[in-house]
Amino acid sequence: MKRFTPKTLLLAAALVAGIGTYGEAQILKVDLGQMVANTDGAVFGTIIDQETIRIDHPVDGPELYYTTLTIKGTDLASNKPTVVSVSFPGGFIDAENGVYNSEAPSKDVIAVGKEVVAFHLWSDNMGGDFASNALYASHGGVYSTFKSKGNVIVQGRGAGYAITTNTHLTSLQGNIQALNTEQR
Amino acid sequence: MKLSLIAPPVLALAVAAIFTGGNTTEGYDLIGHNLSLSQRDFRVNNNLTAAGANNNNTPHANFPDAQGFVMAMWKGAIEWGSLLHGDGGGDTTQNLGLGSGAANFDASFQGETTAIGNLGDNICSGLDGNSGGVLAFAEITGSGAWRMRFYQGWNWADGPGSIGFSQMDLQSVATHEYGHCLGLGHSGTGAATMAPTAANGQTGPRSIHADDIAGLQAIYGAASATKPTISGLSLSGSTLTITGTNFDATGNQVWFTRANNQGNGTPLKATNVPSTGGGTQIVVAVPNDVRTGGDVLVQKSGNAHSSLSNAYPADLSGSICSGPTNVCFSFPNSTGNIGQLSITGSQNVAANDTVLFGSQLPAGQFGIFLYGQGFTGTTISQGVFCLGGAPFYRLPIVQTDPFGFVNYALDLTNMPLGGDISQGETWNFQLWHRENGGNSNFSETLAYPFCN
Ligand SMILES: [Zn+2]
Repeated sequence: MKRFTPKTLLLAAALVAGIGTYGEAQILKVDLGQMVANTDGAVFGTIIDQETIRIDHPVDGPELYYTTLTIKGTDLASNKPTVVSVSFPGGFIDAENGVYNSEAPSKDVIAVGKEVVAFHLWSDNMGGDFASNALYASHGGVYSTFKSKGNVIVQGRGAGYAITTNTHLTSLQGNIQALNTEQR
Repeated sequence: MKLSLIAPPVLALAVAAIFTGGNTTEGYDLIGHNLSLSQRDFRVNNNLTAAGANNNNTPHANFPDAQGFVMAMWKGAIEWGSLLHGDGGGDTTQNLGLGSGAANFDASFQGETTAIGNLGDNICSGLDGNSGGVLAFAEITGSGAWRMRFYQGWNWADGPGSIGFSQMDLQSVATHEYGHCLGLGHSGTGAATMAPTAANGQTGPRSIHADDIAGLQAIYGAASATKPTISGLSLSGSTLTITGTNFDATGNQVWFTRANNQGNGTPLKATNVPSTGGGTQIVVAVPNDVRTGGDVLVQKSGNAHSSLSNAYPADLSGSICSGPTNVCFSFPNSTGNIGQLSITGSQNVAANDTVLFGSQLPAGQFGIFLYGQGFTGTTISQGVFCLGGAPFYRLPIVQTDPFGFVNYALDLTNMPLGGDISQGETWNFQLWHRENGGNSNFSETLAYPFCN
């Protein structure tokens, strides 16, 4: 049973130092089929930008933060080059202004320069009248990749996630294309 | 998008990436903070207009005055409590009852608000729109305070029993989110309330799992043998008797739920309250502005997690202490007016500050204040005696002044034989007085509740 992990210690240090806020969230449980059905598309590519904004909304409340990642790569359904921006609730503008959601994927996953697979769905309003491509299910919608023997492997996240086990990108892409054909 | 409301985008710094979300390792995970006793409050802004979020209007004694989203949130938080909340009822899907934490942790429901509140105001509310598969989230500040949002765009169900297969259970998600607020991250145990994902139709997460309890106890400790406990409440007038264990002999605080839209979430507290019976009983006057349904908690000395008792539900809305009321008139006296009576004081027997005032009376006449609990009227001489039907008691002789006024301060520690007044009782007061020509008359009669 895991107690204090390095990440929680880091976070505790941040909390003690009064740095911003931390957020947790619960997301809908979906398998890959449901993920493909629920989203507009999936992209494999490199994160080339990351930015966070704050919205103070007269109805939805003050201090709503959203982070947007720009991903340059390939649309997995069409296999065509694409640049997609995906957003999720939470993030930090600076050390003192921000809020963090557990949906927000880890630093390791969303750092600029990282290669990921991300699922996205357009939302006219993610809260506070912020319209964007939502990173579907936030932390449940982005998956790290790594290379092994010349192949790109997408890192599985375990039960409850759309990609549960490590999967070859080509295999994942084939599955997504098949599901897209099925669901058309 | 309302651009005028948006701050200029700034590149997120490394701080943004401190936390690795979506933990899937086995067992519970700790965020690293805990809720001090000053952050145990939670409130609800019931702006969740989504279909099904406010369908439950079945009252339950364990959640007085609450329904819908508010009740679901209340249940979600108190499931983490140390002991059963009241009798633990209110959720037919719970085998073991609500209140399963068995740790040095309990939360204090503090009613509804009119606003969403700032980060750190410990308020749960709805949020317009959707962001894909996100159901709800909690935001936690550096001081351990929080804010919780539920996306409006889901097919929510507020119970209280099982829900439709295509509905998302509000109480389950509330229980999960409050688990984050109190310091738990996501668990890798699939059946845990703190598992990261939730499916439509499921109500299992309403009931915290052994893994969740282990995580809770890792933060706050298993419930201490010295932690105060409340096992029962009884209300008489505005006097609340709390039964339990481990209360301090002196200096306890009793926490009450404020009425809706009052205060900033800080519980209203009666302070320096003694206990009797070896720390097993507290008798306390319910403060005037706590006349609502809510929870009662007892904090003994110190601010340790183990200093605060379990939360026990109490409907205090019936304890409203009204002022004196006129229950019977007489006839006009020789001044041409009906003799008037007023009573001042705190309506508290222990305070012993009750004073009777008569006015519009003939000058220089002798009189006697009478009191009893009957209220049958009988014409006697020139007036109406109103205290018939039950024993009544006479106070010492008084005399009106040249302006027709008279007053008498009661000594509640030395009342006439048989006429002792106890807290929680209502007594009727009237003045009998002599009139010119050997006649007599009476003032009006006031009912005076000793209820504060
Ligand atoms: Zn969560």
